[in-house]
Amino acid sequence: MTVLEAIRTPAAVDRAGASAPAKIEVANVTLRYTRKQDQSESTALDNVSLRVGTGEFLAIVGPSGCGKSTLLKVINGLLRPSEGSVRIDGKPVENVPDGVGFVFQSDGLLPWRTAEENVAIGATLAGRSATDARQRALELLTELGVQRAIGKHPHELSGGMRKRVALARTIAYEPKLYLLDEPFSALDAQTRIHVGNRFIKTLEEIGQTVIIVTHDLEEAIALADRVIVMSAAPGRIAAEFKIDLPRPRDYYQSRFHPDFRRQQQQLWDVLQREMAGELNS
Amino acid sequence: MTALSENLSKPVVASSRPAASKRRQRSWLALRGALDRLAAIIFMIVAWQLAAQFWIGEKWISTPVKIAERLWEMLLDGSLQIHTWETFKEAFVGLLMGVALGIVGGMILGLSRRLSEAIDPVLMGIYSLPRVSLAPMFVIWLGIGLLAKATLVASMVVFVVMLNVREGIRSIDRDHIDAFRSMNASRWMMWRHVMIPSMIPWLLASIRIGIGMALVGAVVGELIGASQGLGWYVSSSSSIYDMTGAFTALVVLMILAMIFNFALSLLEKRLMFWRPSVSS
Ligand SMILES: Nc1ncnc2c1ncn2[C@@H]1O[C@H](COP(=O)(O)OP(=O)(O)O)[C@@H](O)[C@H]1O
Ligand SMILES: [Mg+2]
Repeated sequence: MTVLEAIRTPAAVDRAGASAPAKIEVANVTLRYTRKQDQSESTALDNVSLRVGTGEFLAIVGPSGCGKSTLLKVINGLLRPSEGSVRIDGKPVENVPDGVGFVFQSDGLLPWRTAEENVAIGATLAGRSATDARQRALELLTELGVQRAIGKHPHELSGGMRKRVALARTIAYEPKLYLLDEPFSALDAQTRIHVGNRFIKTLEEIGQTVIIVTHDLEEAIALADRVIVMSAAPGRIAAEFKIDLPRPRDYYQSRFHPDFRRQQQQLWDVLQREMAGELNS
Repeated sequence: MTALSENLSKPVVASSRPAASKRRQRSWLALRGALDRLAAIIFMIVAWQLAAQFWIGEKWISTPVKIAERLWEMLLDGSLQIHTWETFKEAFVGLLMGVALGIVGGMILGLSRRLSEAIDPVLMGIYSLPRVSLAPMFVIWLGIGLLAKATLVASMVVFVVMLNVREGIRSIDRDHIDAFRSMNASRWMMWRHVMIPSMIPWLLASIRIGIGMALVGAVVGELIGASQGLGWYVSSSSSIYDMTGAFTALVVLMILAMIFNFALSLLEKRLMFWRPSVSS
């Protein structure tokens, strides 16, 4: 995996999780969307606080519409919080900071560019020359096992291939923080395992801080060092859970690890308590 | 570009049917379509000829044979070229002016919601106005030359283009913009890779509508005040009950419209290669 080793950092050596120096600090963030027509407001995030360690692999789980995508966009500086603040590496996020890669729920690939052109855009924005960027794009597509995508436009690719091209574009941008918004939700079960494995292997190899959003609890446990559960809208953090499964992980195999069921059970207990509390309050 | 068009000709979806037989079937379908169209044209010409001879009368609707003779005569004495070139120039220059203005206006409106909402009622009012009624004024202001007609054409085309480009900008996929913003792309990168390509389908659609309008504008302009052009030829022929002359000019106009549309189709093929639904 020489291509990826080049961007490997010391953080990869020790996935210390939340105890490592903070990569992200989200402090009391509330975000209200304003509807254009009548200026009415709706709260998407309600007083969310969160700390993510450098090199940590964090999963955020929650029902659809609870504000997971919104939270990622706030962290990336694409949305400005109504209240509260976000810091990355100790610096307040005002505009869009450098070094944050976002893989969108819809893959966000440009339909009028070929796979390698899409990836090369990421490399160009990382400061590479045109020829260099193209070279890099071809390397990354090969690395991720989608050589067949080269020369093709997104509509000619399967969903799983598009996801991997989108990841390649983000890797080409060489971020120090990866934000993945439900990267596997549109895929069928088998493709999901295949693509999921590619993602987890690659991200472990790169060793940067990762936040992955999903609505699949098992997927979150299988991949992450820590799982954060959000409550239904307006989004709040309902529960938080540390996962102790050995790395390297396998997207599917990890679920057969003896500790997996136990961790799942504990997380479920926490969740039930939370939900009971919510119903009583 | 060659690499891209090669990709387009490949079957997009793999299927159990071998590619070669699929290609053969597709070329057979294309051939059948062309034959169907040819048959339709021949049918209409024959029906016209028969209707003129045995039913309505030649003096009212002329006949295809007479029109063909007139075309030949006009080609030989050079008048066909003169009139066609005149009308083509008016329509083409006007179309270019309208499209250019429409793109600029549409971009401004697309980017500034407030401005757009402020002038929307006025815009829709002018848009609904039959702009051919402005033709006499353009002649008064700008004379009977090329400029008056081109301006009339532009005034008809500009609004469709403007409204389409505005809609194109508004309907840009949010995720594409966010993806570029999240990588701190410059404004220029954003325009080049996201905004302009997303607008192109809307622009082409508006040009397709604009072509029809451009020819109407050019002809109406010539009806009001001109000394040459296909529209002038129609009106001067009609005024001396020369139906063959009038219909000949109309046939040439039709061919002109077909050429414009064909050129646009070529442009679409070049620019919209990435669209899965572009195959026709
Ligand atoms: N641009 C927007 N304008 C207004 N409301 C929005 C916008 N985007 C999302 N929302 C609303 O905010 C809530 C959270 O959305 P989102 O963050 O996309 O949830 P999730 O990703 O968890 O499914 C939803 O109720 C959604 O309807
Ligand atoms: Mg979402």
